Amino acid sequence: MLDGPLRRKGAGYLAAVLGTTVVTAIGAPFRTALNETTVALAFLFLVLFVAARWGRWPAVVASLLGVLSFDFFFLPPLYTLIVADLEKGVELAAFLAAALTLGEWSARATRHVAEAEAGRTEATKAAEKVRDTYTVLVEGMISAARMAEAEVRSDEARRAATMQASLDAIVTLDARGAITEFNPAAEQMFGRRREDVLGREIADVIIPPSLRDRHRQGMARYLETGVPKVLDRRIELRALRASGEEFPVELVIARIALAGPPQFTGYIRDITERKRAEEAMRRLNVELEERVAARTAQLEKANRLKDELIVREQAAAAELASAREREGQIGFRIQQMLLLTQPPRDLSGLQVAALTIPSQRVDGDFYGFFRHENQSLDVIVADVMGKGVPAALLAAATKTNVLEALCHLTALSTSGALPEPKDIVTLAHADMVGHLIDLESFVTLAYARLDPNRQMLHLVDCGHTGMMVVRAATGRCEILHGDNLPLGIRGGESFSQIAVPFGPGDLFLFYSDGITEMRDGSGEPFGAARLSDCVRLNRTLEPEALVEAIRRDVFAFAASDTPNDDLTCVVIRACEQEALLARAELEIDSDYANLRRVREFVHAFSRDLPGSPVAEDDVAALELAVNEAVVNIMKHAYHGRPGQRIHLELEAFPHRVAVRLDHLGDTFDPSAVLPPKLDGSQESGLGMYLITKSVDDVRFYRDERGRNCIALVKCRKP
Amino acid sequence: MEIVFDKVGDLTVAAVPVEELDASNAGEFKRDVAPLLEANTKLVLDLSRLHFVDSSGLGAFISCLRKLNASGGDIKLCGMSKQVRGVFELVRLHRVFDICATIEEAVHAFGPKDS
Repeated sequence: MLDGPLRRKGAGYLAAVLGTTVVTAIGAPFRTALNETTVALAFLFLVLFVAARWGRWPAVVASLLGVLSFDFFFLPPLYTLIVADLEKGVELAAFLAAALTLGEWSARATRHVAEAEAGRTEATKAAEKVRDTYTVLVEGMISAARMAEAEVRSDEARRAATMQASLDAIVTLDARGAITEFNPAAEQMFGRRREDVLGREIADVIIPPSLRDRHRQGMARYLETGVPKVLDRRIELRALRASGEEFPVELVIARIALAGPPQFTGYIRDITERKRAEEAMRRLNVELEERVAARTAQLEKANRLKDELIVREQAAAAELASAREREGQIGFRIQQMLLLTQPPRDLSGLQVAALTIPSQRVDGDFYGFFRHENQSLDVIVADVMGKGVPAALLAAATKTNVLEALCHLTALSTSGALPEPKDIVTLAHADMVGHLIDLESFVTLAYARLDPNRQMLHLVDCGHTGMMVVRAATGRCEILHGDNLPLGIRGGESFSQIAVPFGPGDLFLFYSDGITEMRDGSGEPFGAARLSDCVRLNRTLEPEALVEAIRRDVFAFAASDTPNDDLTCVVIRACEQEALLARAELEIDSDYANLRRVREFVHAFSRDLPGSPVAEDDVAALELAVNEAVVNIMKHAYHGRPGQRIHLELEAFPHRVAVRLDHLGDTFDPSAVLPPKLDGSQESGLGMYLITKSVDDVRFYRDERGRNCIALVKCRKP
Repeated sequence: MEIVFDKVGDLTVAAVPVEELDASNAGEFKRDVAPLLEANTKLVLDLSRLHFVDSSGLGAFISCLRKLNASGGDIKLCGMSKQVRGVFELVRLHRVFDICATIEEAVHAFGPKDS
């Protein structure tokens, strides 16, 4: 795309070409009629035109084209560029020079003209600007004047309109305090007509008598000093209606800005309603505050009462806590004295240990042991529902009931056989089920009888935790359960027992759910599986060490040694079977003459035992003990009657010699024997004392066949 | 049973004539020793034959002691076997009876002026 000047130049060159063509085309037909000067002038005119219009270079082109065209079309010889003679050459050169000069001049003139035109335009513009400004100024002045005039006019009108339409009363005064204007709102407010009040002193019209002096003084003071006190600010006053009623108003007094003596306008608003509302609001507030105060007082009183109650409650709670503490102690003592009798230690064939960790709250765990004359051991482990003293008492009652049932059935036994555990539990239950149901309580209980002679355990499991058995031979651990209901569920219940044969080294564990329910930090219970693992791992320990291991494991698991429930367990191990080394029997009549036979029998048996020989002193002691036992039977069981049978049985084991004497005479009660006086004053009654001093164990019992027996054990020193 | 005894001054020295004194013969011994336990008798009882004594035998010795004590007499035992002494010690009668090793010692213990 060509830009402006270039396009314009292009147009100039085109004009030069076209102009030359046109002049040639017009002049050529009339060549004969025209002289050469006319044609040259036409071309010169063209150059002049182009120069004036498009500048120097198009004019140069027009000049050259004119010269060529003039020579070609108009100078003889025609239609050639040959210059015929010098005159014609000069003529052409002159034409060219004239054309070039003309073109140049014309172009310059054109440029100058353009420059002059630009300068003129600028001057014109400046002049226009000045004129415009002037016009604006003048118009502004005129308009301002007009506006001021209009404003004055509209101000008047507006003021009048305002006065008429205002909701506020408007009263204007002159310097003397006379009313000069009184708008309709004022008329209505004060109950006076404009015509009646114009010219009257305002003090007499709308100011209550009590304020008039103050008004006049204030007015005079202002006029004198020119220092305003009430002007241009909102003030509240009381005003007077025509009816004589005083009412509150708020007003603003402004001085009218006019020369001359001061005039004032008062804008007055009746604030009776507002005041009334304010008063109502104030009264409401007062009432509200009073109510708040009353409510606060009530609350404070309630708070004091509450504090008092809290103190009382705390005292009651403390008392309750101490009562609970006392109750806990009582329960604990009941438990220790009545419920958790120590396991027997000197059993033959069985080792027993028990773990007792009472919780702060005693619950109704208990266990008891009853040993029978045939070396059987009854074990009772039970848990009474509930906690505290009631549970402890109920447990004691349960234990007593079971014991009573055992005694009762033993006494009734004509054959001399021990009553079966299932019968004991059934009888005990029959005696107490009514009470348990009344008390809405129940008891889980395991009653087991271990007979080491027959190596048989009978278990009556009444909903208890079960009995864990670890077999010595295999190390297997199992938990045995019976299928009886707990005690106290329903009357007329008949209980069944299961028979569990056992061998030497077998282990039995009875436990309370306090152990399996002991929980770790995450609430997981210790559980029967962990207990069984612990027992299996430690099964070779002595029972006492085993219960300690259980205690350790449970506490380590729970990371606590303060259980919520009582932890109780009983471990019983069947002793390794002792090898019987020798056995001998002797039967004699109840004749003192046989005492020597007895002594010789014991002496000979002890002396000839395999294994390490029995010490001489021990043989003598055993002889003495057996001698005294036989004398005892003859004297006290048979009362000296001759011809009565006395049977002796001797058994030797690696670590002891056991003697059993049985007879059919009267039962001997060793507890009825008074301790002997050892001061030489007592000639008889030394026998029993000698027996107990001479052997390691003495037991008097009735065997299952109703025979009275005396069992003596003398330990063999290694 | 026949109880052999000697008189040494005012002392009576007697011997228990059996090896075993038990319920079968203690009564007999008590009966037969009684004539020796007169008033003011000082009795030395030799137990050297005795191998066994039971509570009845002890009772017989205690009976002697009480009778003599009651009549102003006294008794000393001697010649006890280890086994018999063991029984005495079991019931602490070794603290009640004067026990000497031999007859001579027992006689001497009653006092040189009487021998």
